[in-house]
Amino acid sequence: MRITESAIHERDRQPSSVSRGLPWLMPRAALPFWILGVTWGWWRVFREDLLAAPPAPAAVMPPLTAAVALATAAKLLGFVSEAGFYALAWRARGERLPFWRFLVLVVSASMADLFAHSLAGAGASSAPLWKACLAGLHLAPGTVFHDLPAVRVAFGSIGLLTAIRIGITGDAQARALNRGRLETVGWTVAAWLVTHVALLWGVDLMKGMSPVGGG
Amino acid sequence: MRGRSMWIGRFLGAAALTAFAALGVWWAVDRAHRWETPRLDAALFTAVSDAALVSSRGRDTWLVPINLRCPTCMGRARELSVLGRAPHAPRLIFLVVDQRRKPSPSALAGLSAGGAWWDGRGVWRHRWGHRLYGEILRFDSRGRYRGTTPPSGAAAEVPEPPPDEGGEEG
Repeated sequence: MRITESAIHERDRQPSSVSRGLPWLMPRAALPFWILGVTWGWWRVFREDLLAAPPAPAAVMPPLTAAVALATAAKLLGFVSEAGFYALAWRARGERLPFWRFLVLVVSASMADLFAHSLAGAGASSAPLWKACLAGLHLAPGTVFHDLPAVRVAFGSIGLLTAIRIGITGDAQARALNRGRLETVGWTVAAWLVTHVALLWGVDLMKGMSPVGGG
Repeated sequence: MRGRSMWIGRFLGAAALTAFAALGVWWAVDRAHRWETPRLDAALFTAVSDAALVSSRGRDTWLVPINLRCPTCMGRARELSVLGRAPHAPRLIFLVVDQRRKPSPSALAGLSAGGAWWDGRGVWRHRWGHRLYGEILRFDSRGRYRGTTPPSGAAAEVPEPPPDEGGEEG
Protein backbone atom coordinates (compact mmCIF):
# COMPACT_ATOMS: atom_id res chain seq x y z
CA MET A 1 0.00 0.00 0.00
CA ARG A 2 2.84 2.36 0.94
CA ILE A 3 4.66 1.51 -2.26
CA THR A 4 1.56 2.33 -4.31
CA GLU A 5 1.03 5.61 -2.47
CA SER A 6 4.63 6.72 -2.89
CA ALA A 7 4.51 5.75 -6.56
CA ILE A 8 1.44 7.92 -7.03
CA HIS A 9 3.11 10.76 -5.14
CA GLU A 10 6.13 10.39 -7.38
CA ARG A 11 3.98 10.59 -10.49
CA ASP A 12 2.22 13.65 -9.11
CA ARG A 13 5.57 15.33 -8.58
CA GLN A 14 6.54 14.93 -12.22
CA PRO A 15 6.04 18.14 -14.22
CA SER A 16 3.81 16.45 -16.78
CA SER A 17 1.24 18.39 -18.73
CA VAL A 18 -1.42 16.41 -16.84
CA SER A 19 -0.58 17.57 -13.31
CA ARG A 20 0.63 21.06 -14.24
CA GLY A 21 -2.96 22.22 -14.57
CA LEU A 22 -3.92 21.12 -11.08
CA PRO A 23 -1.29 22.25 -8.60
CA TRP A 24 -1.43 21.32 -4.95
CA LEU A 25 -3.88 23.59 -3.24
CA MET A 26 -1.20 24.85 -0.81
CA PRO A 27 2.38 24.02 0.23
CA ARG A 28 2.45 20.32 0.95
CA ALA A 29 3.78 20.85 4.47
CA ALA A 30 0.54 22.62 5.31
CA LEU A 31 -1.72 19.94 3.82
CA PRO A 32 -1.96 17.66 6.89
CA PHE A 33 -3.04 20.62 9.02
CA TRP A 34 -5.56 21.68 6.40
CA ILE A 35 -7.04 18.16 6.10
CA LEU A 36 -7.12 17.88 9.89
CA GLY A 37 -8.93 21.21 10.08
CA VAL A 38 -11.62 20.14 7.60
CA THR A 39 -11.95 16.78 9.36
CA TRP A 40 -12.40 18.60 12.64
CA GLY A 41 -15.16 20.64 10.98
CA TRP A 42 -16.98 17.45 9.99
CA TRP A 43 -16.44 16.01 13.45
CA ARG A 44 -18.23 19.03 14.92
CA VAL A 45 -21.06 18.77 12.40
CA PHE A 46 -21.72 15.11 13.20
CA ARG A 47 -21.48 15.79 16.93
CA GLU A 48 -24.02 18.62 16.68
CA ASP A 49 -26.32 16.47 14.52
CA LEU A 50 -26.22 13.56 16.95
CA LEU A 51 -26.82 15.81 19.92
CA ALA A 52 -29.80 17.37 18.14
CA ALA A 53 -31.24 13.99 17.07
CA PRO A 54 -34.23 12.55 18.97
CA PRO A 55 -33.08 10.35 21.86
CA ALA A 56 -32.68 6.68 21.00
CA PRO A 57 -32.89 3.88 23.58
CA ALA A 58 -29.63 3.96 25.51
CA ALA A 59 -29.08 0.24 25.00
CA VAL A 60 -28.84 0.55 21.23
CA MET A 61 -26.78 3.73 20.85
CA PRO A 62 -22.98 3.53 20.81
CA PRO A 63 -21.19 6.16 22.89
CA LEU A 64 -21.42 9.62 21.30
CA THR A 65 -17.69 9.84 20.57
CA ALA A 66 -17.68 6.44 18.87
CA ALA A 67 -20.70 7.35 16.75
CA VAL A 68 -19.12 10.67 15.74
CA ALA A 69 -15.81 8.97 14.93
CA LEU A 70 -17.60 6.40 12.79
CA ALA A 71 -19.52 9.08 10.89
CA THR A 72 -16.37 11.15 10.33
CA ALA A 73 -14.44 8.10 9.11
CA ALA A 74 -17.29 7.30 6.72
CA LYS A 75 -17.18 10.87 5.43
CA LEU A 76 -13.43 10.64 4.78
CA LEU A 77 -13.97 7.33 3.03
CA GLY A 78 -16.62 9.06 0.95
CA PHE A 79 -14.07 11.69 -0.16
CA VAL A 80 -11.63 8.95 -1.18
CA SER A 81 -14.39 7.14 -3.07
CA GLU A 82 -15.43 10.32 -4.87
CA ALA A 83 -11.88 11.15 -5.94
CA GLY A 84 -11.30 7.51 -6.88
CA PHE A 85 -14.50 7.45 -8.91
CA TYR A 86 -13.48 10.45 -11.03
CA ALA A 87 -9.90 9.16 -11.39
CA LEU A 88 -11.20 5.80 -12.62
CA ALA A 89 -13.84 7.37 -14.84
CA TRP A 90 -11.22 9.50 -16.59
CA ARG A 91 -8.79 6.60 -16.74
CA ALA A 92 -11.50 4.65 -18.57
CA ARG A 93 -11.41 7.42 -21.19
CA GLY A 94 -7.62 7.27 -21.40
CA GLU A 95 -6.92 10.35 -19.23
CA ARG A 96 -5.04 10.54 -15.94
CA LEU A 97 -6.44 12.64 -13.14
CA PRO A 98 -3.82 13.18 -10.41
CA PHE A 99 -5.61 11.35 -7.59
CA TRP A 100 -3.98 12.88 -4.49
CA ARG A 101 -4.21 16.49 -5.68
CA PHE A 102 -7.79 15.91 -6.69
CA LEU A 103 -8.55 14.25 -3.35
CA VAL A 104 -7.25 17.30 -1.49
CA LEU A 105 -9.49 19.44 -3.67
CA VAL A 106 -12.54 17.24 -2.99
CA VAL A 107 -11.90 17.46 0.76
CA SER A 108 -11.46 21.22 0.52
CA ALA A 109 -14.60 21.66 -1.59
CA SER A 110 -16.55 19.99 1.20
CA MET A 111 -16.06 23.25 3.08
CA ALA A 112 -19.08 24.43 1.06
CA ASP A 113 -21.16 21.68 2.71
CA LEU A 114 -19.78 22.62 6.12
CA PHE A 115 -20.81 26.21 5.49
CA ALA A 116 -24.27 25.05 4.37
CA HIS A 117 -24.62 23.07 7.59
CA SER A 118 -23.63 25.98 9.80
CA LEU A 119 -26.06 28.22 7.90
CA ALA A 120 -28.90 25.76 8.41
CA GLY A 121 -28.10 25.02 12.03
CA ALA A 122 -28.04 21.55 13.61
CA GLY A 123 -31.34 19.72 13.51
CA ALA A 124 -33.10 22.56 11.66
CA SER A 125 -35.99 21.45 9.47
CA SER A 126 -36.95 24.80 8.01
CA ALA A 127 -35.39 28.18 7.31
CA PRO A 128 -36.11 31.39 5.40
CA LEU A 129 -36.14 31.03 1.62
CA TRP A 130 -32.77 32.71 1.10
CA LYS A 131 -31.14 30.26 3.47
CA ALA A 132 -32.87 27.32 1.79
CA CYS A 133 -31.64 28.50 -1.61
CA LEU A 134 -28.11 28.70 -0.24
CA ALA A 135 -27.90 25.76 2.13
CA GLY A 136 -30.37 23.27 0.61
CA LEU A 137 -34.01 23.04 -0.38
CA HIS A 138 -34.68 20.50 2.39
CA LEU A 139 -35.10 23.63 4.52
CA ALA A 140 -38.05 24.84 2.41
CA PRO A 141 -41.36 23.55 3.85
CA GLY A 142 -44.11 22.94 1.33
CA THR A 143 -41.71 21.68 -1.33
CA VAL A 144 -41.06 18.05 -2.27
CA PHE A 145 -37.48 18.54 -1.10
CA HIS A 146 -38.78 19.02 2.44
CA ASP A 147 -42.00 17.01 2.55
CA LEU A 148 -41.11 13.75 0.74
CA PRO A 149 -38.54 11.82 2.79
CA ALA A 150 -36.88 10.00 -0.11
CA VAL A 151 -36.61 13.20 -2.18
CA ARG A 152 -35.35 15.06 0.89
CA VAL A 153 -32.56 12.54 1.49
CA ALA A 154 -31.55 12.40 -2.17
CA PHE A 155 -32.03 15.96 -3.39
CA GLY A 156 -32.58 18.06 -0.27
CA SER A 157 -29.03 19.39 -0.46
CA ILE A 158 -29.72 21.18 -3.75
CA GLY A 159 -28.73 24.80 -3.26
CA LEU A 160 -26.17 27.39 -4.27
CA LEU A 161 -23.45 25.95 -2.03
CA THR A 162 -23.89 22.48 -3.51
CA ALA A 163 -23.75 24.02 -6.98
CA ILE A 164 -20.50 25.77 -6.00
CA ARG A 165 -19.02 22.49 -4.75
CA ILE A 166 -19.96 20.72 -7.98
CA GLY A 167 -18.54 23.64 -9.95
CA ILE A 168 -15.22 23.46 -8.06
CA THR A 169 -14.99 19.71 -8.66
CA GLY A 170 -15.74 20.09 -12.37
CA ASP A 171 -13.36 23.02 -12.75
CA ALA A 172 -10.52 21.05 -11.14
CA GLN A 173 -10.98 18.26 -13.67
CA ALA A 174 -10.96 20.77 -16.51
CA ARG A 175 -7.67 22.22 -15.27
CA ALA A 176 -6.07 18.85 -14.58
CA LEU A 177 -7.03 17.34 -17.91
CA ASN A 178 -6.88 20.46 -20.05
CA ARG A 179 -10.47 19.97 -21.16
CA GLY A 180 -13.37 22.36 -21.52
CA ARG A 181 -15.17 23.37 -18.35
CA LEU A 182 -18.54 22.74 -19.92
CA GLU A 183 -17.60 19.12 -20.51
CA THR A 184 -16.11 18.40 -17.08
CA VAL A 185 -18.78 20.27 -15.13
CA GLY A 186 -21.37 18.47 -17.25
CA TRP A 187 -19.88 15.09 -16.34
CA THR A 188 -19.75 16.09 -12.69
CA VAL A 189 -23.40 17.17 -12.69
CA ALA A 190 -24.32 13.93 -14.46
CA ALA A 191 -22.42 11.86 -11.88
CA TRP A 192 -24.06 13.79 -9.04
CA LEU A 193 -27.51 13.26 -10.58
CA VAL A 194 -26.98 9.54 -11.16
CA THR A 195 -25.72 8.89 -7.63
CA HIS A 196 -28.54 10.92 -6.09
CA VAL A 197 -31.23 9.28 -8.23
CA ALA A 198 -29.79 5.92 -7.09
CA LEU A 199 -30.00 7.21 -3.51
CA LEU A 200 -33.65 8.17 -4.02
CA TRP A 201 -34.47 4.72 -5.39
CA GLY A 202 -32.55 3.07 -2.55
CA VAL A 203 -34.35 5.01 0.17
CA ASP A 204 -37.71 4.35 -1.48
CA LEU A 205 -37.00 0.63 -1.75
CA MET A 206 -35.77 0.47 1.82
CA LYS A 207 -38.94 1.98 3.25
CA GLY A 208 -41.49 0.45 0.86
CA MET A 209 -45.01 1.38 2.01
CA SER A 210 -43.74 2.25 5.49
CA PRO A 211 -43.94 5.96 6.22
CA VAL A 212 -40.82 7.79 7.33
CA GLY A 213 -40.91 10.54 9.94
CA GLY A 214 -39.24 13.89 10.11
CA GLY A 215 -41.01 15.58 7.24
CA MET B 1 -0.15 -0.89 -17.29
CA ARG B 2 -1.97 2.21 -18.47
CA GLY B 3 -4.08 0.14 -20.86
CA ARG B 4 -4.93 -2.30 -18.10
CA SER B 5 -6.12 0.38 -15.70
CA MET B 6 -8.13 1.90 -18.55
CA TRP B 7 -9.94 -1.40 -19.03
CA ILE B 8 -10.45 -1.76 -15.27
CA GLY B 9 -12.02 1.72 -15.29
CA ARG B 10 -14.25 0.78 -18.21
CA PHE B 11 -15.27 -2.47 -16.58
CA LEU B 12 -16.14 -0.73 -13.30
CA GLY B 13 -18.01 1.98 -15.19
CA ALA B 14 -20.06 -0.61 -17.07
CA ALA B 15 -20.73 -2.49 -13.83
CA ALA B 16 -21.87 0.71 -12.11
CA LEU B 17 -24.19 1.60 -15.00
CA THR B 18 -25.62 -1.93 -15.02
CA ALA B 19 -26.20 -1.76 -11.26
CA PHE B 20 -27.86 1.65 -11.68
CA ALA B 21 -30.19 0.32 -14.41
CA ALA B 22 -31.02 -2.79 -12.33
CA LEU B 23 -31.82 -0.62 -9.31
CA GLY B 24 -34.08 1.53 -11.48
CA VAL B 25 -35.98 -1.49 -12.81
CA TRP B 26 -36.32 -2.89 -9.28
CA TRP B 27 -37.64 0.46 -8.03
CA ALA B 28 -40.13 0.78 -10.94
CA VAL B 29 -41.47 -2.76 -10.39
CA ASP B 30 -41.76 -2.13 -6.64
CA ARG B 31 -43.62 1.16 -7.12
CA ALA B 32 -46.00 -0.38 -9.67
CA HIS B 33 -46.93 -3.25 -7.35
CA ARG B 34 -50.41 -3.10 -5.81
CA TRP B 35 -49.90 -3.73 -2.11
CA GLU B 36 -52.72 -4.90 0.16
CA THR B 37 -54.07 -2.65 2.90
CA PRO B 38 -52.99 -3.97 6.32
CA ARG B 39 -55.65 -6.01 8.16
CA LEU B 40 -55.94 -6.95 11.80
CA ASP B 41 -56.65 -10.58 11.06
CA ALA B 42 -55.31 -13.14 13.52
CA ALA B 43 -55.72 -15.85 10.87
CA LEU B 44 -52.88 -14.29 8.88
CA PHE B 45 -50.41 -14.88 11.69
CA THR B 46 -49.42 -17.43 14.32
CA ALA B 47 -49.89 -16.57 17.99
CA VAL B 48 -46.65 -16.73 19.94
CA SER B 49 -48.25 -16.34 23.34
CA ASP B 50 -51.73 -16.84 24.83
CA ALA B 51 -51.88 -13.13 25.41
CA ALA B 52 -52.60 -12.79 21.70
CA LEU B 53 -56.13 -13.88 22.45
CA VAL B 54 -56.78 -10.90 24.71
CA SER B 55 -59.60 -8.89 23.19
CA SER B 56 -59.25 -5.21 22.45
CA ARG B 57 -62.23 -4.40 24.76
CA GLY B 58 -63.25 -1.45 22.64
CA ARG B 59 -59.75 -0.05 22.47
CA ASP B 60 -57.69 0.72 19.40
CA THR B 61 -54.99 -1.77 18.54
CA TRP B 62 -51.41 -1.03 17.62
CA LEU B 63 -49.55 -3.67 15.66
CA VAL B 64 -45.79 -3.20 15.95
CA PRO B 65 -43.50 -5.22 13.65
CA ILE B 66 -40.29 -6.23 15.35
CA ASN B 67 -37.27 -8.29 14.46
CA LEU B 68 -35.62 -10.14 17.32
CA ARG B 69 -32.17 -9.61 15.76
CA CYS B 70 -32.60 -5.82 15.48
CA PRO B 71 -31.42 -4.12 18.70
CA THR B 72 -32.80 -0.72 17.67
CA CYS B 73 -36.34 -1.94 17.11
CA MET B 74 -36.23 -4.15 20.19
CA GLY B 75 -35.25 -1.07 22.16
CA ARG B 76 -38.22 0.75 20.62
CA ALA B 77 -40.46 -2.21 21.45
CA ARG B 78 -39.39 -2.15 25.11
CA GLU B 79 -40.02 1.60 25.19
CA LEU B 80 -43.51 1.08 23.73
CA SER B 81 -44.37 -1.77 26.06
CA VAL B 82 -43.59 0.47 29.05
CA LEU B 83 -45.55 3.41 27.68
CA GLY B 84 -48.36 1.09 26.57
CA ARG B 85 -49.20 0.25 30.20
CA ALA B 86 -50.97 3.60 30.57
CA PRO B 87 -54.68 3.18 31.45
CA HIS B 88 -56.03 4.34 28.11
CA ALA B 89 -53.21 3.13 25.92
CA PRO B 90 -54.27 1.06 22.90
CA ARG B 91 -53.87 -2.71 22.92
CA LEU B 92 -50.33 -3.44 21.83
CA ILE B 93 -49.51 -6.48 19.69
CA PHE B 94 -45.97 -7.23 18.63
CA LEU B 95 -45.58 -8.87 15.24
CA VAL B 96 -42.35 -10.82 14.85
CA VAL B 97 -41.33 -10.45 11.20
CA ASP B 98 -38.53 -11.66 8.92
CA GLN B 99 -37.95 -14.76 11.02
CA ARG B 100 -38.16 -18.24 9.51
CA ARG B 101 -38.88 -20.13 12.71
CA LYS B 102 -41.59 -19.38 15.20
CA PRO B 103 -40.02 -17.59 18.18
CA SER B 104 -40.43 -19.01 21.65
CA PRO B 105 -42.50 -16.97 24.13
CA SER B 106 -39.33 -16.55 26.21
CA ALA B 107 -37.75 -14.57 23.34
CA LEU B 108 -40.38 -11.92 23.98
CA ALA B 109 -40.25 -12.17 27.77
CA GLY B 110 -38.97 -8.62 28.17
CA LEU B 111 -41.98 -7.15 26.40
CA SER B 112 -45.36 -6.68 27.97
CA ALA B 113 -48.13 -6.45 25.44
CA GLY B 114 -51.64 -7.54 24.58
CA GLY B 115 -50.12 -10.28 22.51
CA ALA B 116 -47.42 -11.39 20.16
CA TRP B 117 -47.83 -12.85 16.69
CA TRP B 118 -45.36 -14.44 14.32
CA ASP B 119 -45.56 -13.45 10.65
CA GLY B 120 -44.31 -16.75 9.27
CA ARG B 121 -45.73 -16.12 5.78
CA GLY B 122 -44.16 -12.70 5.32
CA VAL B 123 -47.51 -10.91 5.06
CA TRP B 124 -46.16 -7.64 6.48
CA ARG B 125 -43.30 -7.43 3.99
CA HIS B 126 -44.57 -9.23 0.89
CA ARG B 127 -48.30 -8.47 0.90
CA TRP B 128 -48.49 -5.15 2.70
CA GLY B 129 -45.17 -3.86 1.33
CA HIS B 130 -44.01 -2.47 4.67
CA ARG B 131 -40.31 -2.57 5.56
CA LEU B 132 -39.47 -0.54 8.66
CA TYR B 133 -39.33 -2.33 12.00
CA GLY B 134 -40.75 -0.49 14.97
CA GLU B 135 -43.44 1.37 13.05
CA ILE B 136 -46.98 1.35 14.49
CA LEU B 137 -49.83 0.06 12.33
CA ARG B 138 -52.91 1.57 13.93
CA PHE B 139 -56.34 -0.09 13.91
CA ASP B 140 -59.51 1.21 15.50
CA SER B 141 -61.62 -0.76 17.98
CA ARG B 142 -63.40 -2.48 15.06
CA GLY B 143 -60.12 -3.56 13.54
CA ARG B 144 -60.18 -1.06 10.68
CA TYR B 145 -56.80 0.16 9.49
CA ARG B 146 -56.28 3.82 10.45
CA GLY B 147 -52.73 4.37 9.22
CA THR B 148 -49.12 3.84 10.18
CA THR B 149 -46.93 5.92 12.45
CA PRO B 150 -43.25 5.90 11.43
CA PRO B 151 -40.73 4.40 13.87
CA SER B 152 -39.20 7.77 14.72
CA GLY B 153 -42.58 9.24 15.63
CA ALA B 154 -43.80 6.29 17.65
CA ALA B 155 -42.96 7.41 21.17
CA ALA B 156 -44.39 10.89 20.61
CA GLU B 157 -47.90 9.54 20.08
CA VAL B 158 -47.98 7.12 22.97
CA PRO B 159 -49.90 8.39 26.00
CA GLU B 160 -47.63 9.47 28.84
CA PRO B 161 -47.26 6.74 31.48
CA PRO B 162 -48.48 7.45 34.99
CA PRO B 163 -45.63 8.54 37.30
CA ASP B 164 -45.53 5.24 39.22
CA GLU B 165 -45.12 3.18 36.04
CA GLY B 166 -42.58 5.09 33.95
CA GLY B 167 -38.84 4.84 33.83
CA GLU B 168 -37.92 1.17 33.84
CA GLU B 169 -37.27 -0.59 30.60
CA GLY B 170 -38.32 -4.20 30.38
